[in-house]
Amino acid sequence: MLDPVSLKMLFQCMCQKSVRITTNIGQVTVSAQSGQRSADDMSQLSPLSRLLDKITSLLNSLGGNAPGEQTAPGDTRMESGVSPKGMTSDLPNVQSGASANDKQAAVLNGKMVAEVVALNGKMVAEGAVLNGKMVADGVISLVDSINQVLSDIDKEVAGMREQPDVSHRQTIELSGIKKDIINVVLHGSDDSVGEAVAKMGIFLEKNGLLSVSKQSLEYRMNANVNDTVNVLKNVCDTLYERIHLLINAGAQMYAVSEKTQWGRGNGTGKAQALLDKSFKEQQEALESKLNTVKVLIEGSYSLQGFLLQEALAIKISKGV
Amino acid sequence: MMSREHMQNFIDLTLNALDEADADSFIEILMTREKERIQVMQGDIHLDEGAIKSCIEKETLLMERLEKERGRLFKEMDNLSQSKRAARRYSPKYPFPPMPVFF
Repeated sequence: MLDPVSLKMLFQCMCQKSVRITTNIGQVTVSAQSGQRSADDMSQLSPLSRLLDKITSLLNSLGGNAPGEQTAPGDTRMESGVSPKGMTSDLPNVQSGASANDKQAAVLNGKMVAEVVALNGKMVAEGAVLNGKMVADGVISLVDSINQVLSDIDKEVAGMREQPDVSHRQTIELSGIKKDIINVVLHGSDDSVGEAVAKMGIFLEKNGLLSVSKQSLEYRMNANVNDTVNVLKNVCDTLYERIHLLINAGAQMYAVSEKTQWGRGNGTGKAQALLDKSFKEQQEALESKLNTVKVLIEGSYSLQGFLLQEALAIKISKGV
Repeated sequence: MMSREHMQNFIDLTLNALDEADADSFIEILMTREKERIQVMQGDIHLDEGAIKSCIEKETLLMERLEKERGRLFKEMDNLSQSKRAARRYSPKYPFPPMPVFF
């Protein structure tokens, strides 16, 4: 279990690490004080944030939403796009299409229906394969990103061990974050998910990094699409929540309100309202500052124009 | 006709603002200067060419800093909206231990 006192500090270490890594490829600054990213270019994120983005995109490719987002009933890609139910609902209505008085039209419609069925069947089959491949590629890309974060943690731990002012306990706890991420990937939310993950060919290697067998994953996708996708969703949801908690201070605050006596007493709704109020106040303060700056800039522009006119008037009066 | 005192006050405030390192104090000084600026623009300033040139240069420096400040505020607003979006997405299924910073 991670120590609450130094978790934030450890996260700061990771943020500092991300500065060191990303400055080689671009300009990124990560605020170590707040634990929030403040990148000069928002498109370049810290490794953990990049991982979070990957998980979100994989969740989208699986047809689900990120945790906490509302999902419309029955709104899943697997149901609407791939299943035979979806296919039949797309077919033209035979009854209304074939007129009882026109045999030729009936035959024609029957033929059309057969063709549509064949076409849809082919599309469904191709769609399933395509979807399976896409998801497999997404999982491989995600595992690569996770490995990147894991090796960053390893490097950080190695660096910390060399520094005399860093305690042994801190390095152990940073390794704890790594262990936590691996546990989530290999076990998801429960043991049944863990078994399914192993069948998909996702393993922990001897070097402490994760590996994924594309063949096994594609085989599982083709054999049982729905179950495999559900397992992947479970793993991604769990991982998303864990990493999100590391990255976002707002989520940490929300989690704190859930865990404490104060939070339980007031209920989650009140905690959320408090968080919203805090965000609103911050936004209002920023908007007010922005308006002031805008007024000052406009004033400065008009003053410059006025001064230039004065200078011109002096030149004209001198006859230059 | 504008008094010499007003003009001097305006120039002093401009210099103070340029010397100020803290962003909030910088804005505050400029807000105070706004009254003097209006006075300057309404009156007859009676400055020679060199003094006007110097004023324009200082004003350009001020504008650059104000633009930087505006950029910083935009970035802060962007960060805030990201935090808001992320906090709404979060579902507390696996909360980490509480952070002492929030108590």
